[in-house]
Amino acid sequence: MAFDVLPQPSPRAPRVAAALLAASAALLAVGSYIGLFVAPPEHYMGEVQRIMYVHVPTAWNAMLALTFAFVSALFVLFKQDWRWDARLEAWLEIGVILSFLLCAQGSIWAKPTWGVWWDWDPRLTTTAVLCFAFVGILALRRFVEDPVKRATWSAVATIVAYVDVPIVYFSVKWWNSLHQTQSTPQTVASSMVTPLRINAFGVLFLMAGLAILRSQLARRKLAAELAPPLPESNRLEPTGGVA
Amino acid sequence: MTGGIVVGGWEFVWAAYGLTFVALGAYGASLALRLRALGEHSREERGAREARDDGIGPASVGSIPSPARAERRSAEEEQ
Repeated sequence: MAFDVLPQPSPRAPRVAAALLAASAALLAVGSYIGLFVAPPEHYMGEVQRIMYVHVPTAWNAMLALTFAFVSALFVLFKQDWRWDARLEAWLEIGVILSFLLCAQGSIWAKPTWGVWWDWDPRLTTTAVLCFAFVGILALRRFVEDPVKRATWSAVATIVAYVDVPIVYFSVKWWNSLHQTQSTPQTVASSMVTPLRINAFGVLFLMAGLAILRSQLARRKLAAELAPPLPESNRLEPTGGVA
Repeated sequence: MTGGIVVGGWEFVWAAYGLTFVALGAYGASLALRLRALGEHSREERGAREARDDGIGPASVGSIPSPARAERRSAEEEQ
């Protein structure tokens, strides 16, 4: 199979996405309530530390989304199946949105704790590089008109850009960073771990639901793009009639 | 900040949570709208394709559902 089967939307996808989105809404409501009103303030950062309950789940899921994009890119190259191209587009877009949110949340946290909105620290710099690299891939997909070239080139670019993901993760260990190193459940109080975990699953389900919808959108667009054109006599006019 | 301890800062907390949920909600809404718009367009396209395949005139395109079109065809054949 070499990009020869037209992608079709899955009839079950909207129901699965709706279930995931409903579960995520419930989890995020509970997790955020506990994080904002039940969990104790941190000794040094005080109330500002509550940003962690959205910042860390966003970070984990952004990296996960980009990992799914990387896996989809591998499948695009080896399977040459449009469904994987649709999934690649979905995970790229969601990964970029979560990465930008991650930077914005981090910036909001940095101001009261570090005294600045942004610092060219290794973790922040590598994350910014990550954001712009993947935005570039989304832009590439917009510019390339040939669907096969678009799928192949963006898959290759995704694999190359993904190299930055482990660099982001290990940047706090490899270099002297202002950003703190990773915490573990052993180093964080259980009252703080609970909302963190609930919100992590909430963002995970939200991301999965959105990815399913975005992938369906990409499949429909691809199907319309790849379908043979209608002859002039059958083409629809803007009013809904036929020329 | 006093003595290395951050005091207050709820406005930063609300800003981070607000930004997160507004951004993700807006993205979800935009996806729903884009899916709906594309669904309507593909229904119209499908109608045009079915009309072409059935050989039915332009007036029926997109307005007569498939079962009705099948009935009309069989009635025309009987005549």
